Amino acid sequence: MTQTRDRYLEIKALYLRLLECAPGERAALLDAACASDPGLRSEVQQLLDADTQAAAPTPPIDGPTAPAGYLLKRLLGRGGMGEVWLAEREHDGFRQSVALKLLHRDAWRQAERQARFRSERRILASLDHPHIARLYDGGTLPDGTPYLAMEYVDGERLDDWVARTRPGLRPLIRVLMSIARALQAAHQRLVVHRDLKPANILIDSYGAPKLLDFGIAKLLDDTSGAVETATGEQLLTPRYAAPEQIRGEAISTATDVYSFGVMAQ
Amino acid sequence: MHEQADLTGWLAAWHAGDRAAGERVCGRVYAELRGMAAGLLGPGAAGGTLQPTALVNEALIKLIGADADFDSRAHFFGAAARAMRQVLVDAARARQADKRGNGVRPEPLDVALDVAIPDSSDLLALDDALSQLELLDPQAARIVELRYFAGLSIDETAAALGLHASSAYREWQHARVWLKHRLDA
Repeated sequence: MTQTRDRYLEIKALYLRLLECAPGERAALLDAACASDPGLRSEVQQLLDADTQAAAPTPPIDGPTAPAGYLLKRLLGRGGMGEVWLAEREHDGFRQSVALKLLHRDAWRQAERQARFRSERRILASLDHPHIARLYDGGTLPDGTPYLAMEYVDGERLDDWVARTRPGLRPLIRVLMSIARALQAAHQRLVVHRDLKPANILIDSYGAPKLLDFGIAKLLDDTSGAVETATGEQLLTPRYAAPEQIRGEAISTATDVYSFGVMAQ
Repeated sequence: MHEQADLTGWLAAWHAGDRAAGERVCGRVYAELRGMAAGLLGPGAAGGTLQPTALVNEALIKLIGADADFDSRAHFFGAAARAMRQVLVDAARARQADKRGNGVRPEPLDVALDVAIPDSSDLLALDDALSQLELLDPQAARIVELRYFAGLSIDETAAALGLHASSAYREWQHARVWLKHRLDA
């Protein structure tokens, strides 16, 4: 599958033009640009497909099984807590895209922890705010792997969005205000995010922020001993963590306010 | 301190076009990163997760100091990203050669990359695809190296390569998808 440099540049140029036009105009642009070159069309289409619906990487032998009613589409990421998959679920007759978190199962063997996990989950599921990604569902697979189904946000990390769009002061403040209001709504219910950072804030295609993984750090905190020794990873991000988190002291709503402050800088 | 002065001087000479100085920098940075990785993964080490981004930043502070000027940092990251890639690929090859060996697992890919690299065989596939990209589009390959192996943000990547952030972002978008397509194929 070797590609000549000229062909590569031709495909790339068209792909970048397509990225910049509205999704509804893509077909027309593709038709016009590839009228005399159907091969070009299929190559560009392959790139577009790779971005939007790339098949999941061939699952390893002990690959994850999806909870009943969910269809795994592709791996979105992998971290200390487990894996996050883009998945589809049937809900009231609708197909809905969700971010499905499959947590490391070894940390969850104890019944007491599982009970705690369930009660925290209920609280998080009650967080209903336009700028907070919803927790839809959660449970445990037959093999004991806990999972969480969260609202899937097709967006861009806050810092990448800032780098790309170079928003003026006014739009930037509007976004920060939305984040602050979402935090306030959660804090009024005494839910603390605990791991606020640009990677956990996505800007959707309308320019609105969504906070991800609200309270997930707390869900996992119970098991942090086991998770840390198993992977050597920390469940917080030092750059944005408040002093009391680094010292292992009690966490309050002020912890989020501190991280928000670091980010706003 | 003496070493920091040496390396900073080489970086400046490299920036001014001295290729030999560039090779000295790359050799020194590679040796440093390999040593640090070996310390983490070698016999007697606890094993576990190798965090390329953390290693690169530690090497930066050790080799040129935390307050190095902008040009030095930019050149350093270029050399370090390349060296980190080499260290990981060497380790993945060694791991394939000896399955019982103390495996190297790079830190889970930054979600930003959105290309799943589950194990060492896939790291080798990524290295292959990246080498192909290098022939077609050297700048795109640099961007991927800086993002993945040195953990730079889009902004930092653009600054290191002297690009506008929006153009670095577009290049990154395309390179990411191109690699993903190659890796899925």
